[in-house]
Amino acid sequence: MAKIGKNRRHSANFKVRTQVIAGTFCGLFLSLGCRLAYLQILHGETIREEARKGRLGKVDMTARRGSIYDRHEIALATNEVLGDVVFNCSLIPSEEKDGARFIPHQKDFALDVKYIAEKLGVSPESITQQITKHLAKIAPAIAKAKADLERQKQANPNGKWRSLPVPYQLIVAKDVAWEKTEPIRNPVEEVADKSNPGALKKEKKLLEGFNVVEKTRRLYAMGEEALHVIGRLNTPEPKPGEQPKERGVMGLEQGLEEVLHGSDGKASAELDNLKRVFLNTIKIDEKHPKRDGSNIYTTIDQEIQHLVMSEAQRLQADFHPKGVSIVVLDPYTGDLLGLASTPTIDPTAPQSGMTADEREAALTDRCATYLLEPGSVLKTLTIAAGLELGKITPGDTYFCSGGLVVGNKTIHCDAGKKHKLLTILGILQHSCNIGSAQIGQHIGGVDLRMMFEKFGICDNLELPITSKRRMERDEQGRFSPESRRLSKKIDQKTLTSADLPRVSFGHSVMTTPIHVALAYGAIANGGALMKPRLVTKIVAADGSVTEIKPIKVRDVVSPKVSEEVTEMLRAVVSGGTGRRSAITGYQVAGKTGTARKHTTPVTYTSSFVGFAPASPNVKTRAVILVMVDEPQGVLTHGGDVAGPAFCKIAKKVMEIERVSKDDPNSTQLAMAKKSINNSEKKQVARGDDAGDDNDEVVKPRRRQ
Amino acid sequence: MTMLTPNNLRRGIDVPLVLITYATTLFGILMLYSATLGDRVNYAKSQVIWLVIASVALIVGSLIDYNRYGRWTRHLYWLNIGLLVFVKLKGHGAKGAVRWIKFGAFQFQPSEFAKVGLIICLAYYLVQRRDEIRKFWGLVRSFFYIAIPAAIIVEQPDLGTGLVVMVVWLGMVFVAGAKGKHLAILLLSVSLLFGVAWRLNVIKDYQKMRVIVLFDPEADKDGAGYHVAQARIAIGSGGTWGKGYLKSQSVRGGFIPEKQTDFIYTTIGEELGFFGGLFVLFLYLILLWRGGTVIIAAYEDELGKLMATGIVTMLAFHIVVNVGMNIGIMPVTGVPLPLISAGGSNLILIFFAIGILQSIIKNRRDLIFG
Repeated sequence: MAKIGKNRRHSANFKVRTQVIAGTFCGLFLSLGCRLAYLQILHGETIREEARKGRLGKVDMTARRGSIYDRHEIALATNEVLGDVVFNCSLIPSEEKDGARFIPHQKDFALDVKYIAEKLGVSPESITQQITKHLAKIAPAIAKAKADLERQKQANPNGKWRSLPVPYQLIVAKDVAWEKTEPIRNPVEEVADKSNPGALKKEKKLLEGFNVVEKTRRLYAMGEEALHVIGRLNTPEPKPGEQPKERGVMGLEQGLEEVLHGSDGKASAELDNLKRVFLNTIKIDEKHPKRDGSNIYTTIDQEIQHLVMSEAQRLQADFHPKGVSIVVLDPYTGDLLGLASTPTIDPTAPQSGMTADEREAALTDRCATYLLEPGSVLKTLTIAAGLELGKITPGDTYFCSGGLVVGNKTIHCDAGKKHKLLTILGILQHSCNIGSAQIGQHIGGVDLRMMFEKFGICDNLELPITSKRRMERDEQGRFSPESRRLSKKIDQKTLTSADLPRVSFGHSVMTTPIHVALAYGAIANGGALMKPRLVTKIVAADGSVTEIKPIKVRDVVSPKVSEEVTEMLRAVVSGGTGRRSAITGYQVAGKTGTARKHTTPVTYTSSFVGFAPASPNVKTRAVILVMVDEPQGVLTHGGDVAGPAFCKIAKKVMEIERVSKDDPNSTQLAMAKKSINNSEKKQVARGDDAGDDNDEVVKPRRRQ
Repeated sequence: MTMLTPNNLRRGIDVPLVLITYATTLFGILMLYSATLGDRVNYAKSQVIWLVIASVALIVGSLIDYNRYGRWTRHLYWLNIGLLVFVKLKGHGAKGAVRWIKFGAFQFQPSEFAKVGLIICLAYYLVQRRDEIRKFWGLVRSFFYIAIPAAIIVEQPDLGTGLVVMVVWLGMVFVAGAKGKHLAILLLSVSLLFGVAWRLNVIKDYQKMRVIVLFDPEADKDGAGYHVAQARIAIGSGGTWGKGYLKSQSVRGGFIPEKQTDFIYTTIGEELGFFGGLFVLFLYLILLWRGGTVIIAAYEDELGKLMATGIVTMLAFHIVVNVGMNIGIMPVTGVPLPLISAGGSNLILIFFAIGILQSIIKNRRDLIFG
């Protein structure tokens, strides 16, 4: 009985003890429930907000840069999307750091590397070698971070510790074509299909630690051939705390930087542990939406641009000048079809291997912003001005004695030649300085200045291109600093008696090749000065189009004068200094220029400006200007240096533009050839090897 | 369930206990699917396979009469210690801990096996020394009987499982009749020893950190506190109703380490909210209540009573510690959430333990018919 009693006592005891245990655990469960309620019901909202804020990160909203197209919508500057394949080396456990948070399975890691290597077309060993090398490289940084953490723990055992940043990220492959990174961005592997034996099915693969970083690179279809028009991009040293940003320098890239760049947006999103954006969490800052850059359609013709650039480079190679400028424009619209400027460099090439001077020369745009004294090519404008103002008539004659005393100085014709009695046409054909000076004097300073201004010689081109050598302009839009000494003369209310004769033959006045080409355009198109046009339309990212129409600035000369001058210019080609510029099938009008520069030894700016087709009542299609700055060697005359280049370009442009022949029998060419033969015979007879300019090449014809 | 009740069984099994076990496991598989969606390995698939194997363990456990373990306990005890030493010497590990033995493609975790094995051993030990346990030195002897394998487990290092084993010992000796006074003295001296061990750095730094961050999660936001801080954010942001199944951000975003094992409860908390979390606790309460009925039913059978107590205590302690560490009121010790955490060894052993409970229900010895 005693035993039973003991058992009874035990069972009562057992009941209490099980109740104690049950009670303990019920209490613990209750506390769990309370804690849950505390966390989720009481503080749920605040913790959710705290979590959201903690995960919030910036999202890249870099605007896509607009593209630049030629007039046939061929891309000249576009963006290429590239990817860098990167690997996060913190996933590799190393002795330097213990407790890596994610350790990839060794076998899977080897498979991942094999997969990546296969897709990139490299050997898996090269990738593992890169990783090993990088780990060795960052080992000191890891050790330093670890030591620093230890130090923090020692100094403040219960405080907050911050780990130093370690550059774990390794670029495994740089600049990989975006399409090629597709299998790395969305990895798929083929595995045996269990439901369908023998068949393979594609399954999503997970590449632990590997990632692709997107970036864009500017692609220039024409490379160095369009550097000065299109421009290039540069990444200036960023301000502290700012991301480096690419910015357009030179050409359209700089001139239309804001239009092309658009505006980068600001946005935030919740990021996961690998800094990837959670779906549907992107919040765009309403004040800073992303706006992609607009596409620019230019007047440049890719074929013509290539043509003029190769010709400019040939001139550069043959005559070793400081630079060559070639302009091709449409006289009726002011459209710039081709703008060549040499020397040049590839817009994406590094400029490290160049001297400062070479760099300066290569980055100088010689068409729109390079100021020089154009020389004899301006005689055409003087004569057109005289005719327009009624001060002279085509039949007037002037006497060239070889020198003209102006104030205390004497102006000479080139090489001291005496042209004697010359008609207006003769002055152009022989490019007589004295004749032009007398016409200038006849017109008078006020009127000549007014007419040159009407020809737009001092106008602001308002072209959206800039170059390394930037021209500052004053409030009136006129060039000032570098050119002040010379250009101020034309800016003055009247031309002084000393400047007037020089200005009449293109000296003592500075302007750019495009200005001269546009003035010739006014003669070619019947008298209207056009605004130069480089951009025809701007298409914004939202599809809205801004068209830019050709703009007529003003009427400069009457159609009659335009025709008279054109006829004279045709004669310059058929039997004057420009006879080496005649082409098959078309009538060409043009004028040579050989401007002596104020340098020792004496150098020249050799040029030829002309247009074709130039027959009366035929629409002129192109004004072509070729200017060679300081050609070296024996041949320096515009007709010898720039003339043949003009001839080649004109021929090709007529072909490219499919212009119908206005002189199918090539009568002008025949005359020019005959004239060359005549003068050669004369030269041989006289034993004279001097330049054409002052030769009695053709008998002056009286036009009346 | 008829197949489980052949003629030689005197009583039926506890059907609600089986149902709640399966319900909880299936719920766990759903949560595992969500937690590891889009990962290299989706643990839901392998957990289904483990469930099948575990079901066999459940049947085996319930078919073996628990009284038959008696003659094997000595071997079982040394087998446990042998396996634990073996894993220490030859095992495979991760993150600084060596816990697994590899059998080909399978990994086996002896410490999981030890939990159930030691419950069986201790139950026999206590039955054989029924009166000794009421004396202080008898209690100390039983303490060392368990503390030796527990120490090896802690040394792995696996503090969590070591603690589980010690708590199971506490529950079993308490039910076996150990005097409260003796227990208090023993626990006090152990605490003192623990204090000395802390001072002398026997306890590893990272383990200390886990206790420290419990009180100040900001102390080591990138290390031990990372788990606690991130789990708190995940569960807290779940709010009352949760973000919805498959819609977790903390877990999916990779902020929760060991999300499929020790921190599976964060997925439940974040996706299903307060009521989801409470629902899981409710499932466990039913499980423990059914376990409790087994203890009560076996009150006249010393062995069955003690085994059931050990198993129920083990389950309850697992749940409390795991959920507690997820919600930041317990230190982070690698204790899985029973039936829900991914892992084969754990699931099989728990199913086997549930099988033992069934066996106790069927084969328990009543005093009257004894």
